[in-house]
Amino acid sequence: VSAALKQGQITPTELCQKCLSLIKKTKFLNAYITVSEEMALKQAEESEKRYKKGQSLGDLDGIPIAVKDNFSTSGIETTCASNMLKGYVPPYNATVVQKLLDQGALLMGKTNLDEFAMGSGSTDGAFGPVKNPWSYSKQYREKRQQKPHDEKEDSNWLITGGSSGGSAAAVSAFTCFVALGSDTGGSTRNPAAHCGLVGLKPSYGLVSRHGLIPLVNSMDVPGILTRYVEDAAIVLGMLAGHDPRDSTTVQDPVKPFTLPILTDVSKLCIGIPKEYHLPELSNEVRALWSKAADLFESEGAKVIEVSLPHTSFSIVCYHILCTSEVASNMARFDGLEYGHRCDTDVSTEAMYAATRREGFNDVVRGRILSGNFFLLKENYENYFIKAQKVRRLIANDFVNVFNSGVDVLLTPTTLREAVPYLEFIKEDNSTRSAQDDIFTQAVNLAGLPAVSVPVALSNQGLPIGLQFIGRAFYDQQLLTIAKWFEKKVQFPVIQLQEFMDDYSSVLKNEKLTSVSLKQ
Amino acid sequence: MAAPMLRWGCLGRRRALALVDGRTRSRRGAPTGSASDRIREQSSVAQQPVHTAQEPRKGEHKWAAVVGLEIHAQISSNSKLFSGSQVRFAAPPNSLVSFFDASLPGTLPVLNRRCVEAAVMTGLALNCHINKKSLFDRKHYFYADLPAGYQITQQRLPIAVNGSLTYSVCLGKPRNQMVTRTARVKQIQLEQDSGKSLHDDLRSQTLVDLNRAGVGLLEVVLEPDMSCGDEAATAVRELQLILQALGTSQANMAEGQLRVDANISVHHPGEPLGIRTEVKNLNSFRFLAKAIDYEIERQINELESGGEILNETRSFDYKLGCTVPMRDKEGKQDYRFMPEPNLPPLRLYDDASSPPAGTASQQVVNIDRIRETLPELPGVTRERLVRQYGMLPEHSFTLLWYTCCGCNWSHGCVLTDLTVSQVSGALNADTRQSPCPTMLTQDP
Repeated sequence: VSAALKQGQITPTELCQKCLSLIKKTKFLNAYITVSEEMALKQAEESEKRYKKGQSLGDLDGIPIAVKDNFSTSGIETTCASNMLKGYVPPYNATVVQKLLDQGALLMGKTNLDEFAMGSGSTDGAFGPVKNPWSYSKQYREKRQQKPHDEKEDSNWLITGGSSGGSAAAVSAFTCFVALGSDTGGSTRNPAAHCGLVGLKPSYGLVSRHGLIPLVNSMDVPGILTRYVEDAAIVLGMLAGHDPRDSTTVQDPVKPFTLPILTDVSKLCIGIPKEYHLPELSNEVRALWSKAADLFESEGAKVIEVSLPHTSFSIVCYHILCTSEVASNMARFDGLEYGHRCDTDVSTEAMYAATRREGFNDVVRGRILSGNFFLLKENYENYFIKAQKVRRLIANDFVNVFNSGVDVLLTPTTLREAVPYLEFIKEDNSTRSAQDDIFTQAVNLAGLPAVSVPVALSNQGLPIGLQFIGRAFYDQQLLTIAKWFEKKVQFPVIQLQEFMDDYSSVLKNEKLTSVSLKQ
Repeated sequence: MAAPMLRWGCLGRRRALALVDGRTRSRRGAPTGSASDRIREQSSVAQQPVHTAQEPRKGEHKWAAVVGLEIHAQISSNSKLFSGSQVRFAAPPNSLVSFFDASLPGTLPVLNRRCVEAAVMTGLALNCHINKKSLFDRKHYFYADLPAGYQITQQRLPIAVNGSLTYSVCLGKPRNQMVTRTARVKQIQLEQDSGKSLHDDLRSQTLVDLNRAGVGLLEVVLEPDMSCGDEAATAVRELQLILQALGTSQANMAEGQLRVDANISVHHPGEPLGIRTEVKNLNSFRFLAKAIDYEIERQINELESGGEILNETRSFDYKLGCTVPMRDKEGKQDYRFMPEPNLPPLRLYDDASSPPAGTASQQVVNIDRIRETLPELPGVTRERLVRQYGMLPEHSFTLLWYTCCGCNWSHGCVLTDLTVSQVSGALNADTRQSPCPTMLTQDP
């Protein structure tokens, strides 16, 4: 689409308006909390001027993007899907947002999420749950013998996964080409798998977290959701690099990301961690995982079983460290400087208590309480310190495996495809997170790069993704292999017929939905 | 200068607060963890025997007092410890507040190099071991002047440890005997200052000014090696002179750049240390010694009448001249210390250790380079005055004490013998009978 813009086949304004109209049509998905229509159109106008002069800023100039609502955006309400920050308008842009805007991207709006990014379904936010566009796809409805236009059957819609569900839905429904998510335990990769997208979690320290409202400072990274691996690589190239405002970003200079086209995988070694063969894994995912391994092998790569011995401890370790950091990070929400403040004026303590009770949902409050428990002096050694030690062991597991000659690990992303909302809410947030993050959160503990690539549709017509995990700061290699794989599996485009009509004849011989950024 | 006050200090008191036996105590191990929460189990370093003016009353137990100090000095820097907002005194409220200082979500701390250098300089001047790796932690508590709900400090591994602060007290009657004392410096740590809250009881509201929130502080922790208010005040004054000579802090108590908390306990010589109380926010020399001596007296009175001392925090009511329990500090606070995840370990280098290849030069702080640039310290200056001008030691103290900060004795101060003795003589005339300045009536 970038080339199309450059060639004048379509203008940024046209593109912008198409996406805005799609946003309106897909409002029922609840993917967006805030739509920044005016700003987007203004940006489109400026982009158009640049194209006319032949001075485009790059591949992202004039391209509609969306940003998860836990990134600070100057002048645009940033809520983290929480009552605590309803009406909070930050005075600055997150570094990653600024970088994208500097590239000329058009900001369509802020997307929905689980409150403060806590959750694996995008169901527990103050603005309601996000619906998976695949619920309305031809592929899914045909399998369920439903007519696509049958709105009455909407009660059984599917979740997007989380917590970056809004961003995933936004990209999946073609309202934008790229969306920023965040990934702390799998929050970008999980919804990517459920929505048939590429979800990239970069190496910790590669991309700036300045402006990303933190969940777990030592595990958070900005995540990238796109339809194609190439697009993710382009965006990563724009975002990666040292930020003086974020002391946890590495200072080594970052080379630009152009992905070579891999033709020969015979020198590659793919690792299959045996501890990821869980009984809860659905048969379909298991079969696809196996098929993928076979694919690599048949093309000449070495595929071996490896061991990450401390895998079974990672959920508990993650839980302790996550809740502890959450308890700390949420301490600033006291209603004094910004955000929600209750009406009580009896005393400061009473004000804090009421503000925080009103502002946070049960999930957040639960995590704060747990975290504070672990941080108490009498518990610190036994819980927090212990968990940090276990974390080191888990991280070392990966280091050892990569040192033994493995280039990337291949694992499932999720246990199964997206489930209906009504089924999902039968268990609480904590239980679901523990279940759904099982393949993804060890990666955050270790700070490694990982990407979920959509592979195929399930028997129900829903997307299933697989995850590649790379060595720290080997993001380029990771994406190169992912791109090769993507080409091989040829994941189908979602068919949202009723919305597609707009798009079918935008470009001469191509549907807009099938184009990547570069095109 | 007013007449020497009737002080509750070590000398001239009927109760023998000093250690008249002079026995050396064996140390039972260093205190660990946060200073605030532990009952001390170790004895202090033996002190020089102090002259008592009077013998203790017959039948009365002797008491020894033990005083430790936590001194917070605001670092003299252009910007704050973790953000770029300016550091200035008496600016309009909330005019020097960056996004980070206001704890806007998503903002991150970035360490100020000047503050690190100031900490290293101060550590070197106090004979500390400078830790080449030090860590930052979060100390959590809720208060209106702490926007983030936590303070970033260095609890696990501070930047400097195991130093010493030497000071001299005047003894005898008249007080013309200069005796050197040393207080061990347990550690020096970098930490954030909080904002200020002003309670407006009339309108039942609290006004919060965040100008000071995030300003860099050096916390200097002195072991309980002092035994009375006078010693404590003298030690603090010496530290103040050192900080001013280094330029690392203006250390002006009136402007809140130097604040002292005292940890005080009493015990019978030969017995374990007593339960201690913390007296917070002593903001002038006058009240510092007075508060400490009052608290010592209060504890003795309490114990002698069969009561017990609570491990509590108290403040000094300067109007009433006594210490009172602090209302909102009742009960033990658990600060839930946690490593600060947004700041990697602080690494310092010296000539023997080089930074990794490719490290930008502005990221490197070299301890040896800083040592080379240390200015002349007050102790050396005094020695030099004595040596070069034949000044009496006590006069050298007087001279330095009454000199404003900023007067750099090491550069180009050409003093003739005449001038020096004229000046010191003039100062001495002012001190009446004693050549030693009394700390308590001056508030630098």
